[in-house]
Amino acid sequence: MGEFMGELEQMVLLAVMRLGGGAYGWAVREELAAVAGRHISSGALYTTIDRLERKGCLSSRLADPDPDRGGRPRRYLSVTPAGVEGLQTSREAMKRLWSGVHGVESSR
Amino acid sequence: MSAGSPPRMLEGLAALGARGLASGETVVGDLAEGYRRQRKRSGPIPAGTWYAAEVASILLFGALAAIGRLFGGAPPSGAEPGDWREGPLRSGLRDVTWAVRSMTRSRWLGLGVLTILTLAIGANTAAVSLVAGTYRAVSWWEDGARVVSLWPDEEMSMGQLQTVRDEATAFDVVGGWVLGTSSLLDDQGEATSASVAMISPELFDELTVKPALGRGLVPEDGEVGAEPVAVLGKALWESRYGADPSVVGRVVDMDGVRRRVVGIQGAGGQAPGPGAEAWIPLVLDQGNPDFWPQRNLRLVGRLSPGASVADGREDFVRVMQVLAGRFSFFFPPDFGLDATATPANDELWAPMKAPLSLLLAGTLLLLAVAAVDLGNLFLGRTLERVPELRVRTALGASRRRLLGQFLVEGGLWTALGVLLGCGVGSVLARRLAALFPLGAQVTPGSFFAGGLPAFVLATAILVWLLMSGVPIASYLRATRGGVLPRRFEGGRAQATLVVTQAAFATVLLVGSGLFVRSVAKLREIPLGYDAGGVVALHVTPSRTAYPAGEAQLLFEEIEDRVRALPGVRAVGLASGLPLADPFPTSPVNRQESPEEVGAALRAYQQVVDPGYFDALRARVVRGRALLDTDRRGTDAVVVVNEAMARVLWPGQDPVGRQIAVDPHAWDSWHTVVGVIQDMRFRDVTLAVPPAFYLPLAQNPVRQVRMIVSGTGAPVAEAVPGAVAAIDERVPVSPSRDMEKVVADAYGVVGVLMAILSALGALSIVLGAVGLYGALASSVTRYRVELSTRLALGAHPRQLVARVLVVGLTLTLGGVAAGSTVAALGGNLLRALLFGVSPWDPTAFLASAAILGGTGAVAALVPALRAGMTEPADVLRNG
Repeated sequence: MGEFMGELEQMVLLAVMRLGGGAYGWAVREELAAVAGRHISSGALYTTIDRLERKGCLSSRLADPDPDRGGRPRRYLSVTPAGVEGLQTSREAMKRLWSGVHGVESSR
Repeated sequence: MSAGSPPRMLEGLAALGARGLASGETVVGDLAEGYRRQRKRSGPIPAGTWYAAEVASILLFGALAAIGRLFGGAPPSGAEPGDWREGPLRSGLRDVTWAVRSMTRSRWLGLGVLTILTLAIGANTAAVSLVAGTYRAVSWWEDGARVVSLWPDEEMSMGQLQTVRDEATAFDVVGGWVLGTSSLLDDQGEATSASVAMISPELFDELTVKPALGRGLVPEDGEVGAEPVAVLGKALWESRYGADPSVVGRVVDMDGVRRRVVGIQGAGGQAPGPGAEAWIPLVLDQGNPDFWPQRNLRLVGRLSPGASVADGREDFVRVMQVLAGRFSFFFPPDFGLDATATPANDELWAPMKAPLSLLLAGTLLLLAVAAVDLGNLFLGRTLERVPELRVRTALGASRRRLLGQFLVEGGLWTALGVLLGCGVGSVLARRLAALFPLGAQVTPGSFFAGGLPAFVLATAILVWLLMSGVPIASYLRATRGGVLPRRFEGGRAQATLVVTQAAFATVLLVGSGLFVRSVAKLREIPLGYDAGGVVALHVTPSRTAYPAGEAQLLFEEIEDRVRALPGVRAVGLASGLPLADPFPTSPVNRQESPEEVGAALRAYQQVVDPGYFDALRARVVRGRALLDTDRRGTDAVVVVNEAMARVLWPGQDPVGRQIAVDPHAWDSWHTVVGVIQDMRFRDVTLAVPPAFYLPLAQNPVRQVRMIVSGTGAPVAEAVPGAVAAIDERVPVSPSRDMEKVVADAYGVVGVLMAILSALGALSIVLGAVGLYGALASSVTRYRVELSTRLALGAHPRQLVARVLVVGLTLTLGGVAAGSTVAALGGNLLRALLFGVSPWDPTAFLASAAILGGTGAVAALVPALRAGMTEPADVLRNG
C-alpha cells in the first residue's frame, strides 16, 4: 500500500501526470489554475514539490540552461512509481469514504 | 537578461528565498517566465505587484522550510534507524532536556555545583569590576601622559604655586588643589557639610569628567575680585537638591561665602580630591595672609608639547631652588632637590595596582580551584555513569552524540553559574569596595565598562571547556579502541585534579597567612593613643551664622552638652583627626637660637582643647597637658611631642622653653608646658614626625573634629541631637569610628588579609569537597576489589588506612607543589607585606598543617565506607 497524500500533494502529482514530459514548476501551476481552478502561491507550490521529492513521489531532472530565463534551466518533474502508488491509495481511501454519502451533489 | 525582466532587487530577494528550497535557482527562472507572461496578459494585477507577492511567498515558505530543517521532521515511514538525522536544533533541545533532568535528579550535587560556580565566578567578576572601576575613578586627568603630579609627598603654598607658574618653562598649565570640608547653608537655613575641593580653574579642562549641566570652572573664576562660584558634583546635586536643574545659577552659602552654582559635574569619573563633592576656584591673592605660610596645596602641571616627565621634574627642581635662594627664611638650601614628578593618574593608580592585582590573582586561583573541583565532580559522575553509557551506545547513540551531550550539560551549568555569578559579583564588588580605605578610591565599575563582558565570556568558555572537557577526555581515552570498557580508568585523572586543587589552595593559604602576619606586625606598632570606643564627628558651623570668635563659644557649649550624655567618658576638640585629616606644617623658631628661623625646622601643627589628650588616652611624658585655664589673655602655651623634643632639645628638658610658630609674628613666643607621647597622625608605618599642639581657646578655628570617648556607637547616635538642641543650623557630619580610621590607616594590608583569608577558606572547603568526591567515587568504583580483599582476609582497618594514606598523599603532594609556587612568587608580594618576609616559615607550615588536616578529614568518610564494605553483598550483586 502506498503512502496517504495531502490534498495539495495529490493535485500537484496529478498535474504533473497530466503534463507528461513537459511538467515543470510554472507549467504545473498553470495546469492547476486552468483545470482545477486552484491558484496557489509559488512558495506553497515549490515547498510541496520539494516535499514530494523527499518522500520519493516525484523525481526531477535539469534541462539545459535557457537564455530566456537568464540562463536558468527548467526542472522537469515526473511522478515515480511510489507516487503513483500513493495516488492510488489516497484515491481508494476517498472512494471508500464517499460511498454511502448522499446529499452532496456536484455544483457544476 | 532580455527586456521584460523582473526588477533586479526583487529577483535578488527571490534568489535569497529560493535558497531555502531544494528547487533553488530554477524557481527564480520559473518566476521570471511567469513575470513575462503576466506582462502580456491584461489582468487586474500589474506584473510587478504580482511578482512582488510571489517573491514574498517564496521568502516566507523558504524561511519556514529552513527552520523546519533545523528541527528535522519526522522520518519517512519505513525508514531504518540511522537512515535519518534529527535537525541540530531538535537534537540540541533534546540534549538540554536530558541535562536538566539529569541535574534535577541529583539535587544536592546540582546545588553544590551551582554554589561553587556562582561563588567562584562572582568573586572573579567582582575583582575585575573593582579593577576597572578603580582605574576609571583614579584617572582624574584626561591626558594621563602629559599631566604630572609635582612633588606629591609635599604640600605647597599659594606663593610656591605662583612662583612655579611664573618661572617654570616645561609646563603650559600649572595648578593646585586642596580638599576640605565646608558647610552648605540653604535659604531655609538648613545646613549640611560637604567635602569641597578648592582647585585652580585652569585644571578643570584637564579633567576626565566633564560638566553635565552648565559649565566647569574657567580661568576667569580664579581672578582676584571675581564673583565666587562653585561647581557641584552629581551625587551632592541629587542628594541635596533633588537633581533640580534650576540649581544652576542659584546662589548657595558655602562657609559664609555666597557662591553662584555655575555647573554640575557629570558622573562616570572623579575630579580631585578623593571623595570631593563640590569644587570652588583657587584664587591666588597675594594679599591673603596665608599666601606663603599655609602649605596645603597639591600641585599638578601639564607638560608643554615635547617636554618629557624628566624634563618637567628638572624644571620644577630648578624653580624650587630659585625659591630657596630667594626665601632662605622659609626654605632650606637643599629645598626641592628630592622633588619628584609622576604622571598624575599613575600616582593615584600605582598604590592600588599591586593590591588589586593580588585580589584578582586570588579570585582567579579560587576559580581555578573551583573549576578543578567541578571537573573532578563531573569526571566522577561520568565514571559512575558507565553502565548508562554502555546501554546508550548499544542502542545506537553515536560517540559524537554522547560527546555533544557532555558539552550541552557542561554549557548549561556554566550558563546558570555565569548568570548567578554576575549577580553575586555586582553585590560583592560593592561590599568589597567598602572594605578598602576611602582614600584608595576603590570603586566598582559598571558591567559594560573595562572589558568585564569580555572577561565574563572568557571565563565562561574556560569553565565550560573544563567541565565538559574533563569527562570528554576521559571518555575518549577509555573508548580509544572503539569498545566501551566495563569501567573507566579515570582514577589517575581524578588524582591529578585533586593534587592541582590542593596546590592552588596552598598558594592562597600561604598568601593569606603572610598578610595575617603583616597585620599582626602593624598592630604591634604603638599608636600613642587608644582608639577603642572613640568616635569622631566633624562640626562645621557656617561663617555666616557664626562669625569669627563666636564659633569658639558654640564649640564649648557643644562639648559641655555632649560630655553630659550617658555613656560618654571624655570629649575633646581638635582641628584635625589623626590618621584621617592632613595636618598643616609650620616653621618653628627656638628662642635660644632665633637666627635659625624657618629653614631650621618645620613641624606639624594641631590646635586642640584640654579634653583631646584625655579622650584619646594619650600619655603626658613630661610636664602637663593643656588646661582650661590656658585661655585667651593668659600666657601663650604649647605642648610638643617627643619627636619634636628630641629634635629641638636633645637630652634636655623642653618644659619652660619657648618657641615661635607663627611666621606672621616671629616675636610671639609660646612656652612649652608639657611633652606628650608620640601620637601617630600621618603614615602609621613611618616614624612620628615633630608636632606641636596649641590650645584651642588661644587659637580659634572655624571647624572642629569632636572626639568622643565612651561606648562608641550609642554615643555617636546621640551627639547630632545634642548639637541640634543648641542650634539646628550647625551641620554635624556622620560619625567615624576611630578604630575603623586606624584600620583604614593600615592601608590595604588589612583588607587584603581579610579577602585572601576568605578566599583561602573557600578554597579549603572546595579542596575538601574535591578530595572527598574523588575518594568516594573511587571507593564506589573499586568496591568489588575491596570486597574481594576483605573476603580473602584483609582487616577493615587496613582498607581504612589505605584510603586515608591515598588521600593524604594526594593532599600533601599538592601542598608541596603549591608551596613551591608560592615560594617562587614571593618577591611579587614583598612590597605589600609589612614586617614579614614573603618566605615566612610560619605561613608555609600553617598552610601545610591546615590543608593536611582538611585532607585527612575529607578522606575519613570514604575510608570508613571502604572499611565497612559488606563483601558478600557486593560480590553477589556486583
